[in-house]
Amino acid sequence: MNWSTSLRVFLAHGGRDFLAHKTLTLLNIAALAVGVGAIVAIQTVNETALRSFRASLDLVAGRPDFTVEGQGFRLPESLLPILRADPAVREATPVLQVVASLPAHPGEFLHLVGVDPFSNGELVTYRLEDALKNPADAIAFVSEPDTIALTRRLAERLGLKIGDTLRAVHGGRETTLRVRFLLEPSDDLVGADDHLALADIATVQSRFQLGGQIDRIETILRTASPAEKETVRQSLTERLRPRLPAHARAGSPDRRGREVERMLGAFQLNLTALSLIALVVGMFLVTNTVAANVARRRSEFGLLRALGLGRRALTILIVAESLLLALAGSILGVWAGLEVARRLLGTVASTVTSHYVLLSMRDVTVTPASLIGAVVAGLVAAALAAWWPAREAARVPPVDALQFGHISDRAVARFNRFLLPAVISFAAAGLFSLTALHGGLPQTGFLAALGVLLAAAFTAPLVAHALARVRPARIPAWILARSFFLRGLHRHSLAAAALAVSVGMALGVAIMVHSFRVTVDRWIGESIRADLFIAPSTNLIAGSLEPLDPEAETIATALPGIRAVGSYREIRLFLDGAPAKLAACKLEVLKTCNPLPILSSLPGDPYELCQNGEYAFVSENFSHRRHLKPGDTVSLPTPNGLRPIQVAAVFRDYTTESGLILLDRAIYQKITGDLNLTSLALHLEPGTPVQPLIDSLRAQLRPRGEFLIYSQSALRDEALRIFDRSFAVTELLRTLAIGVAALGVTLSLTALVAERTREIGVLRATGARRGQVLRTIMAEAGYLGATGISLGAITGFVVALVLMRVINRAFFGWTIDWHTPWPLLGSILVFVFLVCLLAGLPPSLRASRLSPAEALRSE
Amino acid sequence: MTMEKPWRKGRGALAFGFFRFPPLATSALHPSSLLCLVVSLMLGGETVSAGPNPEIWAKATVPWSWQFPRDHGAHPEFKTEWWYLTGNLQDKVGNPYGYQLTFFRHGLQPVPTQTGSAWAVRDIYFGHLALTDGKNRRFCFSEKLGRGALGEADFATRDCSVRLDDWSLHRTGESVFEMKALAPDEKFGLELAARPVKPAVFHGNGGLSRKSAAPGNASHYYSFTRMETKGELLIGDQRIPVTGLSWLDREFSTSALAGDQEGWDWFCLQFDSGEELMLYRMRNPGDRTDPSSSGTWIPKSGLAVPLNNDGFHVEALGRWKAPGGKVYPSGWKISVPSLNLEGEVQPLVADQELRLRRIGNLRYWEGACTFRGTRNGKPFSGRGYTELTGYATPIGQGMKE
Repeated sequence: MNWSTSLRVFLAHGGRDFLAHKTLTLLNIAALAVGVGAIVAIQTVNETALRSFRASLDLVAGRPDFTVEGQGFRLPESLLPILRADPAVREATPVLQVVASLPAHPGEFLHLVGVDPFSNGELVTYRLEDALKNPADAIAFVSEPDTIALTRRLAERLGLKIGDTLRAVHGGRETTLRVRFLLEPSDDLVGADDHLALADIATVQSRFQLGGQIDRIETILRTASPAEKETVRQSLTERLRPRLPAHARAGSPDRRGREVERMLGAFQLNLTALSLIALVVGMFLVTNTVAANVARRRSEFGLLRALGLGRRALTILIVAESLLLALAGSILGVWAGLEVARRLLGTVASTVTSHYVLLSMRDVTVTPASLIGAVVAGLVAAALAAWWPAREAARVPPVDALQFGHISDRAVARFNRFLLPAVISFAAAGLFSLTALHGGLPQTGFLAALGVLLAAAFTAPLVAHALARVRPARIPAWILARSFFLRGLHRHSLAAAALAVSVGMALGVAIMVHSFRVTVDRWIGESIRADLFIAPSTNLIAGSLEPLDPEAETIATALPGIRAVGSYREIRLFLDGAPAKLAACKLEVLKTCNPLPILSSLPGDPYELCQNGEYAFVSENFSHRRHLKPGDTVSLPTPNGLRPIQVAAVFRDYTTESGLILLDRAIYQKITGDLNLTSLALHLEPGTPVQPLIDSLRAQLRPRGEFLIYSQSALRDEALRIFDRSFAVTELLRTLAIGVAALGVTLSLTALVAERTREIGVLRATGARRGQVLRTIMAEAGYLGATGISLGAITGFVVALVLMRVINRAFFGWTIDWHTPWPLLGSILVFVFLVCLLAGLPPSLRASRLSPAEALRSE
Repeated sequence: MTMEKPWRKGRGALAFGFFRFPPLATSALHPSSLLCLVVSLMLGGETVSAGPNPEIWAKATVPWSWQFPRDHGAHPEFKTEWWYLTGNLQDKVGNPYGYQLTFFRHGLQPVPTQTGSAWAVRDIYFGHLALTDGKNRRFCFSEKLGRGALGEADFATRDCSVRLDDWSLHRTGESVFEMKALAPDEKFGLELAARPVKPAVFHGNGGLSRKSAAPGNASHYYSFTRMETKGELLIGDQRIPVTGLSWLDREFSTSALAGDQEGWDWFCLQFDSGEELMLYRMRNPGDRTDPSSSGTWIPKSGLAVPLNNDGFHVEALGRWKAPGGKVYPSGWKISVPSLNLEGEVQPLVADQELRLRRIGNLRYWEGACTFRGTRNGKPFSGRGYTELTGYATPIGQGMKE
């Protein structure tokens, strides 16, 4: 026997059985489709996010060899001649970007990029479309004071035509811009943010009074070969170092992309891990189906073996059959995954924007490689899942196989063998937790979660058996169902395992999200004491940290009934290669009106330390991840050099994932020279009505641009809205996993009903009514559901523990107080149980409709 | 020295024409390059109102009151200006080389409209560099472009001191023009010093070279037709000491030309006898010679003698097919009956076409040539430069108005 024989048998044989058992086949395909679909959806969204980010970056900057950029603060343009004079540099071009709100178009903004068209020739990746049609205007790009180029999509959305003007506000400076060109990105940059607008660098500097400032210098190097580039880059970085300000970062532009990828990494890993769990659940189902198949077609396989088909060939035959199904399921999954991804884009984009970087995605972009990858994952999963039952089937001697009713009961006695793997999985989970927390391998946290789920899966047969031992009431359907369930354990164990894994994951995520939400909510209640908050609207829409109109502070301070005006400045920077936020506020206001939840501090009053010297508060997650205690020093890169800042205290904070350093405003302004503000917090005299103040603020600020004005409760709602949005995808995946598990119940029962057709026929022939058969099979579904749910409930708590205390700690460093959402858990469990019963309904109905005569004749 | 109009459409016309691409020509090229759009148009000069008020630029209406060294420097009150150097050189063993180095300044607006930014553009600057290696029959070219912000370019007004990035041309106290330019890819470059051995030749009426009947459509224009040159050429990793002769054209103006020409063939010849000849043939549709074509004979004394269209004949002898299929004439028979001068101009290397991209698709042929012929029946030889425009990329719309 050889491969070609297998192939011939397969071709002649494989499809026939699928056609004969359409329901089973379809369920199987659906299960895999959901698994693969989840992977594709998440992969696509992740890829789209990264690609969109890179495309936006490339559209602005092209693909330079070397980049110098200011982090947190802008760079002086005087650096440009230094770069241009370097022998390694062939071209150097400046970039200056601002995010401007558009008073006439609430909710929209411009990501306006100032470029030098004379020196960026080798880097441009766009073209000014209408300049070609109306060339006389092209000069306007550099010579007219207000000319910009808009993307066609944004122009259409804003209803703007060439020649129209547009009011834009940035940092309290309002200006009028004229749309003179439409911007067409080159083909490979489709997906870039359509808020991008281009102008000459002189236009951006003069319109927004940013003379002398730039954000980046993009450079093309003189190198003969790409291989030399890295060496040249390194030596150039070395040469430049003494001449660059401390906050300038020089190096390969890929680095920025890589950093963002790393920044998004935790977020994306999270989603990827969850999507993989959907596939793992799918694998259980495949195993289950194949096992069912094998059992049902025992005599058929026995015949094949008797006719001379080898063991190996039979194994291959069975695996190949399941691969055929997997292929259909995977293709369906790819399609479904892309559809889901399209619907998720907006949510993910706004999550990434509010946590990391400005991201706008309009359509999915995905590489064929990752789609093929997902299909392959589906196929491999199916092959692995089918391998075990296939091998079992092939081991049965042909004589036994041809004998009827031999194998079914064999599994019952052997479920104890899963105890050891369960213990091992659980131990592995513990080990991985340790490596995640203390071994510097945060990714292993996900393995710990997987270990817990696997342990649950291995425990499933034990739990099922334990449950089945409970003596039922003397209702015939129940007694029969129990015995069915016990004898079907070889099949049900897998369905129960899948169910337990899904339920465990769903509950774990639910507990974690709930705990996190309650923690954040309480923290907001405790730590946000101000009554009103003011910020530029772009900071919400575009996720940027654009400066607030300084006039807003004057206006706010002059309002009646104000006790104090707290100011807040925040910038993003990289410290030792990892992102962090640097913030400054009036600590005096904070101390009296809104003391920080301090966890540990230097002796003495940390506020006073920070107000009088170069001391800072750092957030808990910052201190965790960088192993900093009060008294330790952080080096802050500023335009005035590296400034060592001592940690005065650690405080609890949930505003940023990357960690926060908080300075007093005066100290911050002294060491950085940055006088801008990001937002204001207004503390009112007790008893001052809030609404009239908001109205008055709105009236005074409206002519100055678009502002966000939040009351305390509105800010809380907004924070929780962002929170909920951040976990929207997580919750969706949770639901998906339950869906797959429910399919498993149907699948398991359908298989068993098929297996027991004869038995059911005997029951019916001996007088069982249809309703009784229906109730019996439904009760069996109940047993199955109860097993999965009870095991899943316990698993859920362990998973939650891993998520909160291991994965969260390792990746994010938050403190999450444990809050069990009992009502939510209860409703999830009831929901899943109902889903199980519902899933049991089709096979039950099928069983009850079997005509006794036909059932007895079958097989 | 008051030759009326022999230079009417001299180098000024050439230089203008180079950059006048019809808009569609630019789109066919480097679609992603904004520069090609901006610059090709900016250089359209009179056809595009670049600044808010083009009237503010000074116009050439009366002969310039020449003052040197001031007038070797830039004249920012005029819109357009250039320093145009070409020359034939040889190394120690007599191998021939040619070079071209050109600096242009073009004003966009007399006063920048963007305030508070060092990037605000008043003028844009560009440079062309080309080297011809006669022995190895090689030709290489390069270009530079900039807005001059943050010291990127420095075109002084007190004397000839012109720099664009690291390309420069300076006049020393001894009236030697020192130039230095290295192609950005560092594959070739030059470092030369050129000393005028004849006084400046002023074209038109005391240097006022009229371009059309309308007053103000003229330029201020002078040349050094014979400059002893020595220095080094860099080709590959070789530094080659060279000596030879250069020719410098200086012109500044605000209004450009009008005309329906398709292009022009321009020759400057420096004879071994110490005399020079410049011929300029404007081409009308169907390769007909425009009556405005003209020339100049500069005897040893330096006193220029104008030649009008009837005073010389140029006949193409061969053809050269440029990459891309466009065809240039190559090799000419030239005769000036009034001087009893006759001979053949042959390019040192057939391919001396500059194919530039930074300012749109700009292609023109500017190359070192040799002359062999007779004067008054006796053998007469020399070397020079030839410029051919409008063959590969059309000259701009502006020229046709």
